[in-house]
Amino acid sequence: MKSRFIKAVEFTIFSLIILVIIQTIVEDIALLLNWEVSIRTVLIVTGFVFDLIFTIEFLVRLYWAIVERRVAKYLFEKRGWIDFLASIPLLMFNSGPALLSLFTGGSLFIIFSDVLNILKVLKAVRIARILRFLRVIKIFKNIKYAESAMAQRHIARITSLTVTSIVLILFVFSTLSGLFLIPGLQADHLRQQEAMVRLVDKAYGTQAMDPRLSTAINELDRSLLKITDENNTVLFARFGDDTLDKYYMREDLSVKANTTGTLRIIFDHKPVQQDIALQNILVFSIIIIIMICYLFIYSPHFAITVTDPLHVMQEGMQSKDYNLEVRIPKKYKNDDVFKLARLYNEHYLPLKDREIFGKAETYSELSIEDIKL
Amino acid sequence: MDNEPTIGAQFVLRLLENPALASFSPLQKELHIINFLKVNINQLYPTLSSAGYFPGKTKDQIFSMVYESLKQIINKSLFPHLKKIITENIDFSFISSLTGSNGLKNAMSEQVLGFLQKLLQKSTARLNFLGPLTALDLAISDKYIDESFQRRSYLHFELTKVQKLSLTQEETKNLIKLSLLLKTSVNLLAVGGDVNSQEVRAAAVQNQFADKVLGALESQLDLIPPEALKSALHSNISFLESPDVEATARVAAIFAARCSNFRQFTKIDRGADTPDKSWFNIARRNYKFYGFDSKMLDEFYKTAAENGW
Repeated sequence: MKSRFIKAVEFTIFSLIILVIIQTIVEDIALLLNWEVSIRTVLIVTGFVFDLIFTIEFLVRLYWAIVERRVAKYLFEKRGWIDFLASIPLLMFNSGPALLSLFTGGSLFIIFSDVLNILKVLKAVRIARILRFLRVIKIFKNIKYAESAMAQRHIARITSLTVTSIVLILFVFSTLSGLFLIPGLQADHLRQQEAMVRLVDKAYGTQAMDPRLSTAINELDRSLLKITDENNTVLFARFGDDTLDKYYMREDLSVKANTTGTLRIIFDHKPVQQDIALQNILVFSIIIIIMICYLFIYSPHFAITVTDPLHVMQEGMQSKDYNLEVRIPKKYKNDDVFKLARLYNEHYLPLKDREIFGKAETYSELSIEDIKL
Repeated sequence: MDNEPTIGAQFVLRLLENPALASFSPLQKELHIINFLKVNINQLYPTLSSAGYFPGKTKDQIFSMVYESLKQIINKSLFPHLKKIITENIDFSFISSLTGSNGLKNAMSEQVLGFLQKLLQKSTARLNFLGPLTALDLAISDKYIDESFQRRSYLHFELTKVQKLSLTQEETKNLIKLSLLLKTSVNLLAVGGDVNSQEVRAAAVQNQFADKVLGALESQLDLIPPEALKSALHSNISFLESPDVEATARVAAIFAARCSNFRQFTKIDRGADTPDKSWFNIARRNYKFYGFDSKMLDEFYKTAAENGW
């Protein structure tokens, strides 16, 4: 009964991992394809629910590990570190703040933006999502792609190393580039916005917007969405308010004021987020391709050259009537395993055959345990 | 006292119902049960000598009674099976081509069946019949002879030029089948029914002994020509000691041995070679031990490798 319950829990977690990865990719796609705010809101809420469940899962597992005094085993051997990295940091830096921002109408986001540079906040939130890809390792662990435990362990180990290296290196580099605003698309974007604020300030002051200038601004910076004065009179608008409400969340927008505070200039931050989303999709594609290669190219190769010949030799040594030889591929004939297999084929099996010839009449499939008298 | 055969039969039936034996042929089941009894008789004896079974009997007596019941039960399925093989799988018309005279096919098959039913009362004959019977069931010789007639290499040369058989491909296959069927007739002169006896095993027979058996055999199977009887008897002779032994006898010896410990692989493990290829390769290395024709084994090995058998 208990094992059935555990199996059910494991299956649920496995399903949730698949769903959360799909959700992460869809969230990036939603940003790239400019999906409506309503859909993105649903995705933010589901992302939070997933992270909350995984955080609870991690805390429960950690609690039992503490109770059973096997914390180190859980964290390192049972990959508890993945449970940790792909749950609490995400809840704290990604889905948690995103959900709070939704409920507070973006005011929390504004507070963060005031304390930190807005781009740094954006990056911190989006980069943390990369950690979700670590869960791929746990999916891989659950796929029974090889009969041999040894093959499973080796492939799982190499997959963990590869995926962790990619994710952590990207995480560290992205965090560092976010913190220090290393020259790049995002830094250019920020500089361009600041220049635009100065230009708008100089050109218009408090005057009404000249339609010709409006056209010039429109072409100069596609990220400039709206300019209003202190009376909330719209001086420039790329889209109507309905379009803004439908396709832009609060964190997609950056609100700046001119030096005198008479103008309110709203910029579009989506290009920066889309750039990060594209990076995430690229990383995920790399991870998926690597995993497919491990699963369908390396795993069979490992089986053919290591575990399969070992399994055949083991069967031949354990079972009296098992006399199949190991098939030795020509190109691997000098591998240690196949050198051993040749000895098995050429010496052990003929010897066993002669041995069995003399003793065949003592072998039976029946055992005393089978008979109940 | 009178119900001992019934108790023996009931005990045997319970053993036969064991799922571990489900995939085996009747004779294989018999062998497994005999081996089981031999190995475990000491542990079974307290129960089997109790009031519900065979009180007051010694181990040997119990063993003999159980074995007798086992034989009777197995014979009920073995003999109809044998009849089917003899009447449906072997076409005796090849004997006309062999001798040049017309024989009565039905009479021949009935004579062979009657002879085997008598011969298989002997324990050693039953034990040694396992390989030939499995080979006949699987028709293993058919596919290899078909291949050899296509290849026209060593085996074909041995059959047609050395043994000088003027038989068609199908007739040759039937001669080999009959050789397999009568291979165990070498046990004709074996005394008694001691199941522990190992007096006649593959390639353990001398030429002189085979000739002695041939004399006795000819009198019992007078409708079968001596060429066929020799082929059957000589399949028990080592090729290394008698290089002039018939090619059909050498083939029968190899296929009977191939099937004596035959294991049906429902699924071949990844990384393993195919069953026939593996067996022939092992046999190539042990050919001196078994007295097989190594060139014939080489040909069968190549055939198995090329066909994925």
